[in-house]
Amino acid sequence: MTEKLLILDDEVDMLTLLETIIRAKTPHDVVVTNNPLEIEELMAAHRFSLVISDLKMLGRDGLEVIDVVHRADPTIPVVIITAYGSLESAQEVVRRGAYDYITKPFRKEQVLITIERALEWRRITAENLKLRER
Amino acid sequence: MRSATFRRLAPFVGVVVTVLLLVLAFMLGLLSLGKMRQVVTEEFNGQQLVLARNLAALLQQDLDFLRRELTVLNLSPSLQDGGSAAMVSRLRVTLGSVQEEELLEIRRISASGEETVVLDRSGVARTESGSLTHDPGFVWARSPASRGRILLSEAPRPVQERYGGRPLVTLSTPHYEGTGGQAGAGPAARFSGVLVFVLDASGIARRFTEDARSGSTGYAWVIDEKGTFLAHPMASFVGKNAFKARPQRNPAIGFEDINAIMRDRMLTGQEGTGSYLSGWHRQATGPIHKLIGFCPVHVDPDRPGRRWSVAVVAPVSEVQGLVGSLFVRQFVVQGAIVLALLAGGVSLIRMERRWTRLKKQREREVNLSSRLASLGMLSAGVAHEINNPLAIILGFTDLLLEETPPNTPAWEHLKIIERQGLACKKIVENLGRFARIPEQRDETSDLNEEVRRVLAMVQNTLLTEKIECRADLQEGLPRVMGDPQGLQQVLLNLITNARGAMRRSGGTLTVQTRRVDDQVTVTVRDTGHGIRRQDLGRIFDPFFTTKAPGEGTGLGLSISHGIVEKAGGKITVESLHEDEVGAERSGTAFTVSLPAVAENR
Repeated sequence: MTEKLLILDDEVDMLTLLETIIRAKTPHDVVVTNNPLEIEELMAAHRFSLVISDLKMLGRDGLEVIDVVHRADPTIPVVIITAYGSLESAQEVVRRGAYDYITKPFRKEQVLITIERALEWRRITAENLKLRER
Repeated sequence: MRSATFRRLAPFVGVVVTVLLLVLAFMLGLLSLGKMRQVVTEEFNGQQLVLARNLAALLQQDLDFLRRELTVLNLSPSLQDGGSAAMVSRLRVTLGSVQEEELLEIRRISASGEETVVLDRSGVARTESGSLTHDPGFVWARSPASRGRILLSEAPRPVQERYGGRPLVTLSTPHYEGTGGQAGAGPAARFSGVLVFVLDASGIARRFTEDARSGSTGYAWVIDEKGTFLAHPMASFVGKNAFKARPQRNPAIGFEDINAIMRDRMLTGQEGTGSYLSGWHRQATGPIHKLIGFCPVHVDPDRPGRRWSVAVVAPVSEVQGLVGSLFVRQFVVQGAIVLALLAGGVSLIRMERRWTRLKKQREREVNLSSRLASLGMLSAGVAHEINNPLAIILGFTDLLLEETPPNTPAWEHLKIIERQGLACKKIVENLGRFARIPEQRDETSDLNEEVRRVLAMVQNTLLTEKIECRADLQEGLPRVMGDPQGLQQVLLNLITNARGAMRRSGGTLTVQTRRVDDQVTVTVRDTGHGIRRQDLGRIFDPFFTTKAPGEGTGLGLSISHGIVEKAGGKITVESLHEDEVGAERSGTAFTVSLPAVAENR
């Protein structure tokens, strides 16, 4: 099942890397941007199943991204990429509503597993919601 | 460096200066003591001179009185008729009215000088015959120029002998007949003989000097113009020549000073003061320094050469002992005050230095901690920045590796990129760990257990490096603050450093645990090349390493320091470098002390 992923990072090379990994290893579609202020616009234009965002960006940091995304759709999991060595901020993002975090540098398997788990979680959450609505 | 030398020397300089000041004060004190003594001595001697003057005046008055008696007697009409009973009874009246110890007898010599009526203290008058025509006294008296005058001279030898050799003097005056009450004023008067008082000179001198006191023990003595003692507390001296009597009593002493005083000053009619060395004072014997004040007694107004001299003497010790004891007391008090100040100053300096040392040590620790903290923050930032590009490099390398057929040159090269990238990651991880030491102070460890674990881990490596490993672990140690992983890392870092130091020729690694008060210590000691003195202060700095480039990150000790400090402990180091003490004694010992956890925890 093809899902649409939004990836935010102010480092274009990092975007390229993540996009390459995901396109090469998963069936999912990817939208990338290095401008976190575009999120609302992009979310209005696309239906994303997952948002992957860097923690430290110019203009808007990962924590704000979590808020913005969840305000639009609380069922979209947000995965935050943080540098190794800032474990405290990693725990902080989880407390603030991120689904998970990935520490840089990462192995591609780590990224792929996290993405799959996040999408799985979203599917289950969505089903639960549907069931409850009935 | 100069200020350090100065700081080290400062206390010594202080002590030297203080001692010099003390010596100076002491010398000034001695000087002032000397001056004080001189002043007091002069003052005292001045008093002695005053006393001598008084005594001389008394003696002179007494002699004047005797002269007057003689004159009065000479004018008596009873004397006109030589040898008559009236004359004898008149003489008796005079003899009775004058002190026995002064006037011994009265003589009336006839005009011819052939006959002399003598009345002595027995009260019986007798007549002596024998020509006195050549006697100097009689010759003087017969001269018209002598009329109305009085001559003082030594008593004739036979008379002296009759009185046991006592120093006697005579007062003689010519007698003129028919002069009546006018003292031979008329030219018609006729020389009718000589009236003579025989006086006990020593009696007169003794009478006034006997009870004279200078100070508490000083005394007076009198000599005549020849230097014969007329009075002296030492009865045996009386009548003897002072120049001879003194050396007889104590030949060991030269008496140059007193002899010079007597010869040049006393016998020449001067008054004054001085000092001399004597051989005794009253009952005390031995060399005694004495002070003397002296004054002449002009015994014959007509002949200035005839004079006695009164001396008042006292031992110097009498004056100076008093001054000395006062000064000694003052010295003791001053010395005590100075010593108390000194002791207070020294202990203040010591306390200050101790405090400074503690403060410095504390400052060094705080300094190091803050340096580490700021460096930690810096490295955290650096780690973050490097992780980004590193993630990209490693990520693409990973992707490319998948697309590249294995074991081709391109694949090999990508592998190298990946390996080096991972090495970067390792360094950054270390930096990160250093920046982010867990704050879990609650966690405790069994230090011995961690030591055993780490030793088991490195045992084989040590064997291959020819390093003998000794564990000296005290059993029954309490648990310590600090998480086991952290402590393991600290031990591993210390052992790694020890291995590095002993790599060239092997050695012994000793790990020792001990309980010290409320701390548990572990010491890692090696027999390696040691740490240079100038490097000791920097070993805990991040990135400080003496290893070859690429062999060490220079983070091991700073990470260890951080871990131990977080646990509330301390790392200290002692090291002797082989260039400084030789390879046999060189080595390093790191001691980690950690707070022991209370037993009930």
